[in-house]
Amino acid sequence: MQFLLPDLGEGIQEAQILKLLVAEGDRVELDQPLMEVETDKAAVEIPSPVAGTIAKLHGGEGDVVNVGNPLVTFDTGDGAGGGEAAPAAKPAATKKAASKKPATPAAPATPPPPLPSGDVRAAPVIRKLAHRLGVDLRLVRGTGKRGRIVRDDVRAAAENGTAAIGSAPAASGPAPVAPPPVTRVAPIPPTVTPPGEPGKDAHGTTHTERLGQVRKTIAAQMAKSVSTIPHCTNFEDADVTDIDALRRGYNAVNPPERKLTLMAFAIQAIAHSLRRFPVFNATFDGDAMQIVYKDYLNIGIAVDSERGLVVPVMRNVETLDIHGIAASLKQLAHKVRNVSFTVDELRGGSFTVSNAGAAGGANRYATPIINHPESAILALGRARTEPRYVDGELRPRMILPLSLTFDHRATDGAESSRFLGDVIAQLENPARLLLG
Amino acid sequence: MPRTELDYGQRLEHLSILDERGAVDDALDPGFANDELLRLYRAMVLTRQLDIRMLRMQRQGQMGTFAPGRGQEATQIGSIRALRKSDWYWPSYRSFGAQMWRGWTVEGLMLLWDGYFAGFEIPEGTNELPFSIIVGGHIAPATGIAMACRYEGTDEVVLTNFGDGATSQGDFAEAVNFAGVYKSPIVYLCENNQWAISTPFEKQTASKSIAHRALGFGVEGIQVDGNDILAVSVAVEEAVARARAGEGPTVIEALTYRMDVHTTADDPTVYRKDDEVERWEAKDPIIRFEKYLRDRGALDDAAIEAIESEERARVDAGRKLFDELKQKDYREVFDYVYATLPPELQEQRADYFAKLDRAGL
Repeated sequence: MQFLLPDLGEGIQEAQILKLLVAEGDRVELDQPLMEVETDKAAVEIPSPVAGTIAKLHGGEGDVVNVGNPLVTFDTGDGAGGGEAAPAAKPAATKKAASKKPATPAAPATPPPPLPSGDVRAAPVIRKLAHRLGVDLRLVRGTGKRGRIVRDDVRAAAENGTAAIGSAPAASGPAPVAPPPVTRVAPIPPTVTPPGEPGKDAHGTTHTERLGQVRKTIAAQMAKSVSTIPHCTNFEDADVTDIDALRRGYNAVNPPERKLTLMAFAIQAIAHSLRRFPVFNATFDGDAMQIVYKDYLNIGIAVDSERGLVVPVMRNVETLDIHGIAASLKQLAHKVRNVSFTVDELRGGSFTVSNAGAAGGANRYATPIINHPESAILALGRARTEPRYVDGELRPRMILPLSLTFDHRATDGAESSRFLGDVIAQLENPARLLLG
Repeated sequence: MPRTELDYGQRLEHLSILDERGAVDDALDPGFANDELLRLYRAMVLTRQLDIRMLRMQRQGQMGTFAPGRGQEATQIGSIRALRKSDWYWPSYRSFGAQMWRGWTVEGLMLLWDGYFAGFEIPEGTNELPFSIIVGGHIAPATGIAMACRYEGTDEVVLTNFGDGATSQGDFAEAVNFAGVYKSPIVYLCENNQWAISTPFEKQTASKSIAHRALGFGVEGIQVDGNDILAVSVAVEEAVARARAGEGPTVIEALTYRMDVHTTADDPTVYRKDDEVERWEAKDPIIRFEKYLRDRGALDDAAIEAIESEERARVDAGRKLFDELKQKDYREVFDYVYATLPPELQEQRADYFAKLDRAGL
């Protein structure tokens, strides 16, 4: 007796075998669970429709079986249709794995004449799949019930490329040229095994990793920021040749613990500019329709750490000179390296600087996401030597790329250009920087 | 001029007689005779056995899509017992137990849910309507029947049941409002099984309860433990008596739980948590009623086993009949709606028959 896969939902076309609960040769009772299968709608257990012996299982775990095709052949001991007696009208099951050749008849080599789209028999899920795989359903011959197009038909068509979108002949256009078939080679082996639990989805194997606390926090914070703040980013360059020379000169004659980095100068410049443009050191409060300007300058420094992105806060930068800023940066770096910062040290920022260039992230420009509820963030790219015209001559100059994102509710592009211009003017002119 | 509290003297009760451990409140126990109790028990067991069998048949490709009702047996059987044969019953689609109480057969329900017209035959001698598939669609016409009963001066009463989701339909509000105004003899039984397919009760309404809504329409309302067959029986009996006495409608909210899928095409594991289902397993209406019956000496292990196997055999016998009775007649779909088929449907029929002929069916 041959048991055909029934329509387990309403109008489903196929089911995937998730788990076999019996093996060929097993004796089963009526209603004994045979297997778990999953359709578009639900995962269900199939109980045996008869008592008997499993003569043949027409699919293994992971295989997809079309509705109406044989699922199990039973030997019920009455001589009626055991083993191979029942002719399998259609191939039973097809492997999901892309490396296996589908057993269902592939789309014909010569595409049939295109049908008006209304006549394509395919479920919405199949239409979606076809769209995703770039398959023109009008060119696919359906092997399902009454010529319906099933998943395997679409996959086969996608694999042999016979029905790509755009390959349908236009009503009165030139004859179509069939695109060359896609040739597949051995898969590239993974160099890194992704973390997490191995599993699979409808398209192949996967790994699923549960988020750690830091990642969860970052995810929530980022989502909140981009979903509530209209972001707008300005890109500019600062010519830091002079300040770099000043810095090197100073470092050359001072002990290492008093060393000054370009970052320290940048923060000094930003601190001065924030005093002149307070809207970038503020919070836009959309509920109360007001802007809260912070009198303190608490500058968060976004850095890469073992635990992912963290933003320790340098407090009251308005009370620090360049040496104080440099010392404070060293302290923060030390804490990040030793993962010894407290949660409080990550709170209370009023502006953020992302040292993206140092972290090896964004080399040049970025579109940094504002650290909610602040109103702006500045990303420093990697300073590099580039040719620039200075006084009519092409010269090697040290260029620092800058990307400033601001909350467009709080202020506008002109103001952000002025703010960024003010930062740059200081970085390009050490005298202005040091004099404030 | 001052602010004063509006007090119309309306009260709202929750009724529980048999708790989930099977302990009974003696003062509230209606004191049914043992044979009446066993009749209720047997009907609940039959309902569950039919459910289990049909779910398996569906997975074996031998049954159409249907809505299993496991967990709601006490609400169904407890409510239907209060009706006289001449009273009117208009169920929703998850009411097999109550329908069988009214005379629908196992094979009839199987035929019906597997798509055979023969299954729609209404049992003789009762005032039945075919269940409503449209959520809440039957509440207003059921109210119309109740208004007609009063208008014509019969003493018939209408019972209609529906789910929590149906109370969000406008029909519910219109129907209860009219029944309140006209003191129509109707009992609105809401089987609040906590889920309207995948919408949980707390997303269904901001009301604390469905019973509560009766107050706004100025009609009687009560909430009962829907897994407590004694509480359901008492509440519905009282409501039916009031309706028959011309005192108008009652909204009854029976708190119960849909233990299985919404329909066989549904997968509740994607929207509800196992621990919620487990909590309700512990409140199973049949298990607590068994405990009550044992404590009264009306039931023992042997009797439980015997009743279960008898009711299972009844289902199996019905299934055999179903197998014999089911005859695919693709041509009958045009037969039962119009006495005289309108021209456009005649045309469709000719077209359809030609297709069947070509397919050799």
